[in-house]
Amino acid sequence: MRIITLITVCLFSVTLALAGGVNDDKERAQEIRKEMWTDSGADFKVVDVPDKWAKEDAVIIAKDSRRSYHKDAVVARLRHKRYNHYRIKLQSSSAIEEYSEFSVPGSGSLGNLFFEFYAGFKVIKSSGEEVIIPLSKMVKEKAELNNSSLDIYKLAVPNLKVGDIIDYYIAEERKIMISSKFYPFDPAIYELNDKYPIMKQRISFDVLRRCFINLKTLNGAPEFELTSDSKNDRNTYVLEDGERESVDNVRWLHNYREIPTVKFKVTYASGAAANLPTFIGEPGILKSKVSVWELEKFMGYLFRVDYYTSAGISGMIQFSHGKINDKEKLAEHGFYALRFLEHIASTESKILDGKSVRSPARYSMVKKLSAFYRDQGINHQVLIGIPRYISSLDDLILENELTYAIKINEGAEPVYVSYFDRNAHYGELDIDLQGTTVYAADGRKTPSRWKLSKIDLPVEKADKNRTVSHYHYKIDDLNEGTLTLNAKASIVGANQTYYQYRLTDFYTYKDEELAYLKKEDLQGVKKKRKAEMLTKRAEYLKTREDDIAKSAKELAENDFDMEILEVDDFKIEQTGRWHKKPEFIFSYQAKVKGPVKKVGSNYLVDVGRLIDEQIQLDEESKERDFNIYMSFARAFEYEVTLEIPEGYDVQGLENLEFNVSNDTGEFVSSATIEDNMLVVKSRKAYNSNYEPKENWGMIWEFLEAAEEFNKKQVLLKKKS
Amino acid sequence: MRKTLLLLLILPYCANLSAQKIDEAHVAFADKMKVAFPEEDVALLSNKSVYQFYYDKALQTIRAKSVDDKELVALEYNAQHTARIYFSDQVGIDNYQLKNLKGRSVSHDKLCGHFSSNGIFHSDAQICAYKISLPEKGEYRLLKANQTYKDVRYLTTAYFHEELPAAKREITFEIPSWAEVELREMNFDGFDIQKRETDDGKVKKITFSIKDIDAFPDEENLPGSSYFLPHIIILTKGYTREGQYQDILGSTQSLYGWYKSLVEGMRSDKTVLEPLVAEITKGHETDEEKIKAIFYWVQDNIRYIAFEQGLAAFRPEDSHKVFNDRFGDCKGMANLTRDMLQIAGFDARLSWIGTNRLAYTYDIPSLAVDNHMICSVNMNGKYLHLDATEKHHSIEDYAERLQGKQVLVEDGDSFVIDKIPTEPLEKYLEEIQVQYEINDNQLTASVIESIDGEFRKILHNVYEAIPKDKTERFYKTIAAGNLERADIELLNDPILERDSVLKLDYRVAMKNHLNKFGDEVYIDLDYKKDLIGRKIEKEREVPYKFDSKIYRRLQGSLTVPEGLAVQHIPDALEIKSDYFEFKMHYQVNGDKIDYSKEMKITKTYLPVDKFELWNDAIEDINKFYNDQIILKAK
Repeated sequence: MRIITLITVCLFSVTLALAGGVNDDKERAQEIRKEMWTDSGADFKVVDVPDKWAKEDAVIIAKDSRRSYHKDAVVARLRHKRYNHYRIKLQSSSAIEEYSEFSVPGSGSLGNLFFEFYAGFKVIKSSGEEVIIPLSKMVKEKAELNNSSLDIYKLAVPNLKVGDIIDYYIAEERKIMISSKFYPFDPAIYELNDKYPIMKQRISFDVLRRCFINLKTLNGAPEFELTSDSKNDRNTYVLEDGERESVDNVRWLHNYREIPTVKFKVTYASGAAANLPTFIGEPGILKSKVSVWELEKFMGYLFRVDYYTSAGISGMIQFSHGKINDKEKLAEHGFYALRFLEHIASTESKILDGKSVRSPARYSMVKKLSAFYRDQGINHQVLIGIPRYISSLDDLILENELTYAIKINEGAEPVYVSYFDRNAHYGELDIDLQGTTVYAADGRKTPSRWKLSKIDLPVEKADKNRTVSHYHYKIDDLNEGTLTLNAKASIVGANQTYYQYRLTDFYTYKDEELAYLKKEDLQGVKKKRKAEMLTKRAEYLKTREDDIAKSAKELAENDFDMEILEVDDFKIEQTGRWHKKPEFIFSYQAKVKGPVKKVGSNYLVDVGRLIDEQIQLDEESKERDFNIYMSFARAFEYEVTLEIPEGYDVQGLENLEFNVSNDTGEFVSSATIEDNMLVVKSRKAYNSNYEPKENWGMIWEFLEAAEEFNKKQVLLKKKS
Repeated sequence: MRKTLLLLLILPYCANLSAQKIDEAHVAFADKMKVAFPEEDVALLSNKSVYQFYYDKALQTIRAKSVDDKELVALEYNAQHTARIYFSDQVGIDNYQLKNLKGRSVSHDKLCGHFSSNGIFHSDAQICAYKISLPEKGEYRLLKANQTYKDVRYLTTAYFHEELPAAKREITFEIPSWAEVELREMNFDGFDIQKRETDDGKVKKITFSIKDIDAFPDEENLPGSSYFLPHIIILTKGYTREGQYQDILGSTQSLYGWYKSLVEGMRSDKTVLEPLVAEITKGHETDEEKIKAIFYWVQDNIRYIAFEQGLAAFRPEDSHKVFNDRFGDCKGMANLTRDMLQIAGFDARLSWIGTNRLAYTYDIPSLAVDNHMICSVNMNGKYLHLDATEKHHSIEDYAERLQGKQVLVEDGDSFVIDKIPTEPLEKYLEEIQVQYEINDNQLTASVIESIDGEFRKILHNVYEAIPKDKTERFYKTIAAGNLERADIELLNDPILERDSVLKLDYRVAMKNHLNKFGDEVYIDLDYKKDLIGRKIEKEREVPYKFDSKIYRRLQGSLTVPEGLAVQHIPDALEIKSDYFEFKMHYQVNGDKIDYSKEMKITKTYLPVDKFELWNDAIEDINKFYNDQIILKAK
């Protein structure tokens, strides 16, 4: 999936992953313990849960998440504290299992970060007795990576029973030595529903009034209340919430679009750093909206001009294709030249030396390509949006939520460029931006002068992401039930990625890249290095075919519900890396077993198993509370032919006729006999990437038909 | 964050940037080994281990050290290998070195720390993992490591197979004349292991060597390695210094004596347990009832959490502590069971046992022989063995992993060796009674399914771990077999109890199990299809271990609808061997078709030479399942 990982990594990282110390006997530990257990308020004294949640495995009676952000006076040191306190009633053995063991990181430091951890665990028995678990019960699990300590302390909670309440906190206090005047703390994100229902929860953070705060509440989450303490130069923001039902894993759900969520980020910035073109706003003032002006300022900084790459791209195009006046063509060539520079030019050397090949950041590629387009006077817009699984554009609050693309306006229809990985081609619209509103800037202008306007991006039709599979079966041995399968798949659009990354490598497309840009093999590589690379390449190529065939067999085993005995003759017929030939096409021959069964003197054929496995519907998910977020609209078409063995007729074709079609999608299938062949055709399509929950029944309807088709049989009846 | 894993695999890539000299012979070796071991990136040119016994004058005892020399060669470019050295409180790493062909040290990443395995919460077992990069094909590294066994009892076995395949593997023992060390050769048959012996009067040197040996197998369903891999059991029995013989583990009595000395170090306060014992035995008249009440209380109330720190790996936790914490490992749970039973007036004892992961018996005086502790009750000379770590386990049965194993029962200064009985196959019975019906061309079935034995226990354990709102789904999943949960209508409220079989009463809509073609109706009565497709991979070269013995029986009957006649029923299938038995057949009785199926796996260990027999049987079963009943309009 071509999804920006940067954003998710920054936004959702769990902060306890880093080390700190469990401090049972220090003064600070006592202060925190008092704060958590003595001063924690009435919610943390509750022992009863509502009857309506009696059948839940656990009920979160109270949950308190506190954060604090300071800067020490004079010293260039920041302090960041995170306390998480839970009081949970355990109502089943599975909940006991879940809360019977804990791990807390040990003391440590990492570069300029210093960590201290504090923890406390107590159990409230149904009699009301409170049993504090001494931290001396924890055992230390040593771990040392190249002399850096990664110790963990583990606790087995004694005497825990169904009906008990566990009340625990894990607190982390960080000191961060800073060398600049600008430090963005990790963003925090909280979903207000959990896997267990919540009676009361409180999320709070306090900051020095001079800190900058970006904050957003989403999907009906309550707002934070502000309390100012001018004497201590401190603002405290508090969100109180409660009565939340449990939410477990749900198929096709973007949690941040449906579940009440809050996210915030605190930034320390002083002096000139406070004027950097970011979204931080004014010190001490909670910022919940990013203005167009701020975004323009940020873009001006992010997209500041890169002349070097633009010149490189021009030179390559000039060399390989001569002077090109057609701007549309130039836009295409520019994209492919940039792809060559990033993924081909020096990649073989890295691969052969076992070095990692990293994909460049999206914004940097958009910046390079836009700079080239600008230099060439190509009419294009730079698109700035938010992936649809994060939020709508109006809910933008953090810089790293943004993603980028380009819209080229030279032809009759606009053309999009979104992806910049090794298999990306010109003319792809990011699946995560489809159907969203984005900002657009006229890329011909210098970024510092960009004026942003909103535009809506289309949702591509199912056929833009279509997989067409031709499977031809010939029965080799009726009694053994073995068949030869000649398979050919043609995949266009977003489903390509999965297959391309498993079935191709650098050498799959190297030659077509060299030919496109009229480059020689190992051009410019010095003689000694060339010899070395050739030796390593020969060694790599020795096992390459076998490795790819093995991947193909694994894919077939994954796709089909039958025994794949062997896969041969695997071929990539088209790489799917060029917009004029966007289909990724591969073929192979396989020996398979399973779908043909001897019954008396006849044979049953599991026709449904001759195509790929279908989604297994889960009875329990027939009712749905949330809107449906799929990655993209898509279609799957099959044409299956089975050579009818001599002396046999086919019966039961009517079993294979399905026609379920509605606004959300379809499953249609038919079966005929043509030239002594059983020909089965089917098509399944999801019409959109989003459906309101009211349409779930319609989706269910055609998925159920597809699942049913998967179980259908025909009879090869011996002619009398 | 609640669960910890040692991050063995997080070592970042660390390239050795300095150019290395490559020996042509090593390149040739790489080419040869790559053909033999195509999946491997690195192989060992040689792998030598030397075990030396010596007298520690300061501690006045025998000790042992090992010296390992592993010569690694890259079989391809950019190869990497993570070498691991295990250590603990009793076995330390004195030093290690990683060198290149020129004998220079090579930089590398290192991660050391505790590791957990087999569900142990915390132990003193530690590991150092060294990330070794070998950029060039034929690149050479020498890994040398010296370890000291502070207590020779912990030096138990030496295996030939290791993480990498080796062209040459050599294990040498240097045994001084004053030391009594016995080396037992295990599973040498079928392996070309050479043995050389020299003796200069002071030190006896015994070397075992083998060429071209595979890496340690990593297939699924592997039996314990002691069953099939060649290895040497090292029995340090004792030594003589200045005319005095000092026993270490000279006999089973010595082994027992050492265990007993550890057990005697316990300081359990039984008075803490007395009110509990009185409470849970109250109202129980017979000895059997009282024992059962205590055994089940420990099963139900003590969570299995294993701590194995140093000698604590062998010394049980005090019973009152286990009681107060409500958790413990096998030793702690055995000790609590024993103390509670003793309070109730029974002759209860601690017992040591090796589960069926271990191939050994107690004629071998070694710590390698056992890995588990249970409680045994002397009932007029006959022992009842109780393993409270087996949750939801009936007192009537013995767990699969203990059956047929010897057990060392404490008996004052002496000991008793008993044997856990092998349970009859009937105790594993999973039985299905089915009445099939055809109405309006739909096949349905009314089913009573009964599950007992190990599988019932496993289900019970799973049941305890699933969320409460998933219980119906859980039972439907068990019933559904190859069908969908949605096809099942549960008619009873199933109850999982350790002393009774699990009964499921349900109706099943067998969609797509009846197909009409012209005037013929094709019917597939089996919706469970036990063992279908369960072939063992042809390439597998190591034995296969079933989780448990199996005994499944199905009896079903279909009334042929009026207007239809039976045209075909599948041929009966009967397969019988020393390892499994399968009987499956259809029979026409008047207007009924009876279907019966009996599947037995009588031994859990399937040797390699029986794979063909097994796969042929599975192929026949597949064909039997594929075939169907054909009814035809009269």
